[in-house]
Amino acid sequence: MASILGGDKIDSATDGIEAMNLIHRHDYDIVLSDYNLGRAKDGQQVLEEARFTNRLPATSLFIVITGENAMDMVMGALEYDPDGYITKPYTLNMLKERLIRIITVKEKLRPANEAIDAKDYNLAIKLCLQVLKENKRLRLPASRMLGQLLLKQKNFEQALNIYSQLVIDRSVSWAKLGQAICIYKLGDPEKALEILNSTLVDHPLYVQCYDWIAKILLSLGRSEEAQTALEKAIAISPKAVLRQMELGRIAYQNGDLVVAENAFKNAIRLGRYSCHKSVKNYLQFARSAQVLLKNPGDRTTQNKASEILRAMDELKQDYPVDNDSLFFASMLESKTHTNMDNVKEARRCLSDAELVYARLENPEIEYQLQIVEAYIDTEQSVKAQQMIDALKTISLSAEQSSKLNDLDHALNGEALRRHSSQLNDEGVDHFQQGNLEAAIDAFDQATQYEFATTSAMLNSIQAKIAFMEKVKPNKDMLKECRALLIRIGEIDKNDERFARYARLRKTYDRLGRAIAK
Amino acid sequence: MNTDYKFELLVAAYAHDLKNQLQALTEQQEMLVVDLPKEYQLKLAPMISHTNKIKEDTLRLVSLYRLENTQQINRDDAWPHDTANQAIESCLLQFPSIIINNKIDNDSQGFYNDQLAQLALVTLITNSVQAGATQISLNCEEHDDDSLTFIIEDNGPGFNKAILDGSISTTKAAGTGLGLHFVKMICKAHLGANKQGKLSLSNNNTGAVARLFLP
Repeated sequence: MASILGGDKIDSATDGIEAMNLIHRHDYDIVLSDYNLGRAKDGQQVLEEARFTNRLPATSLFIVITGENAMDMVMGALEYDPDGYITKPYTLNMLKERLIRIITVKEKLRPANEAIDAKDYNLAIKLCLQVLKENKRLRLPASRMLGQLLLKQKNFEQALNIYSQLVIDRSVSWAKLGQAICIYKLGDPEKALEILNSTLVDHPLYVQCYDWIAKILLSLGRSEEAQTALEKAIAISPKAVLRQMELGRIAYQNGDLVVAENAFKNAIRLGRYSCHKSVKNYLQFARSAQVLLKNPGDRTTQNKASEILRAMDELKQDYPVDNDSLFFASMLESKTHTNMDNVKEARRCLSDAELVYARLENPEIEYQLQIVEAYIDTEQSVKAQQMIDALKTISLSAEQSSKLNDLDHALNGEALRRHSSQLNDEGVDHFQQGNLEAAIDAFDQATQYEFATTSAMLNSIQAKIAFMEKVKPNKDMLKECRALLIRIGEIDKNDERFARYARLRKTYDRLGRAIAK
Repeated sequence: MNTDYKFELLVAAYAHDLKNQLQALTEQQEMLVVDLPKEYQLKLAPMISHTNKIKEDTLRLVSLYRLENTQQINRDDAWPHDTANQAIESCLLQFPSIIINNKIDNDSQGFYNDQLAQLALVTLITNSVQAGATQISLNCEEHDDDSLTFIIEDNGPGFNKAILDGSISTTKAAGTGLGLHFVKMICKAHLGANKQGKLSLSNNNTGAVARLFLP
């Protein structure tokens, strides 16, 4: 049809993704897009992406072909509105006449659009006002453009005047939305909600109203109602990535992880070929979904775990140099394996996360707190304790301190003692085999907990002394022995360990004197 | 959701799908005709005409559903000259021998639902032809308050007095009077500046006159 009408260099696309690929590669004067473009994107999303990525200047035309059922959504778009629309069914002549009208209007607004492309918004406002003054017939398109510009410049009073007058004279849906936005921005959220709800009575498919209702409700702290509003918008128009992201964010905040997980999953799917693709969607999906892994033996849970791991794989492939995200991805993989009772894999992923963490330039405290949690989850109590101890030495916010305390408590003291005891046994084995260095290592690990037993500390001193007697006295090692003796403190003479303690103490003093010479 | 509502939705969905399928069929037929020799083109013309008629009827059906179920119809800047042309194009497929003049100024502009106004014009033109008119003219008056009136005049026998009185809706033997009712519904759905659209019928010295006021 377009070529019959005289167009040349015409490209055609079979879906929204192909359309976006073409728009990214070529400059077009006119884009003619069906609203319904199949599964991945609709015409509105193509328009938003084309304008958002600056691949389609304000002076180019974007025309949506739509059935009456999508008219509320097409006509109501306030931020990214098409230059025109053609309702189906249409004939070649109808298309021709409509195109001529749209092009004529666009040409009359060209100076203002050129100013928008040059980002000179004040000039664009001036030119729109001039058009409004001189050409009554352009009132709707010029007012629409002017309203958007005034909103962009945060001149809400003037924008409100423009929209309010139009609501009185023309009762167009986008003017009602604009009016509500201005009223909200000027500090009257309740009145704005009233206008939006009444607009929805007249135009029940006007999804942008739901978006703003959600935004306003959220600002009023009514986050559950905000979630409901967004769920309604998504039921009508499910293909908008940003809307799915927002629903996910609010549902996550509300603790509704089933809705959050689904919204982020949709955001990943829809965002795959979109300028709104975001690493956040992958991470938030995994965060929401892994909490739902309650029953590792259940097939549904297993599928969910696989989905999370696939999403994390995709993230790692698509964002290979984003160390922060790689860190979180490995952490979430670890958490997923933990939830699926696969400690070995959980430890492997945590170890990957540790490697990435080491590469981070200025990691936030939060990262370390998460690692501590993962250490506890994967039964790596020693590492957890080390990190907790390290964190205790630095300045933390109240929230961080509270979390650290929780983790500290979570770290099971009994498990630590058990572990310390195991290390002590290993040390004893090494000592008996004459492998003093390995024994010292094991005892060092065993004694680093505050729960370490007196016997373990005595063993550690004994191994170090034996080593120094065999090799030569060592200042640092003597210091370590001294620290352990201080920790042990006085031992009662009736204690069965006293003889050993006294003997070691004597040898320690002798080695000290030797090194002093 | 009760069963009746589901049933209504189902009917509306089928009608909508039917409308789109018929549009696709019309387009295919029109493309096919261009490639055929003249004698076959003439033979195919009735088929195109019938398809178009079914498409128009289906469109009416869909529009009726929307008029019944929508609080406020979508209106926007629209150009009466183009609306009339679209209606004429559709009617000529149906009645190729009728002369229809679009006398509306190319620069006239209004604020109405283009598709519904077009359907109203098609309905009124069809009524004129079925009443015996051979020539029809379309005109438009723009008013100071930005409202406008479409005027459809024909050279037919004019409206029966009983129709003008409002005591009956049709004079056709098999007529139901639903055509005029449908046009009235479209007019009434147009609300603006404390005014409501309306259909006025009259006769002049050449035939029938229908005036569609859209505020």
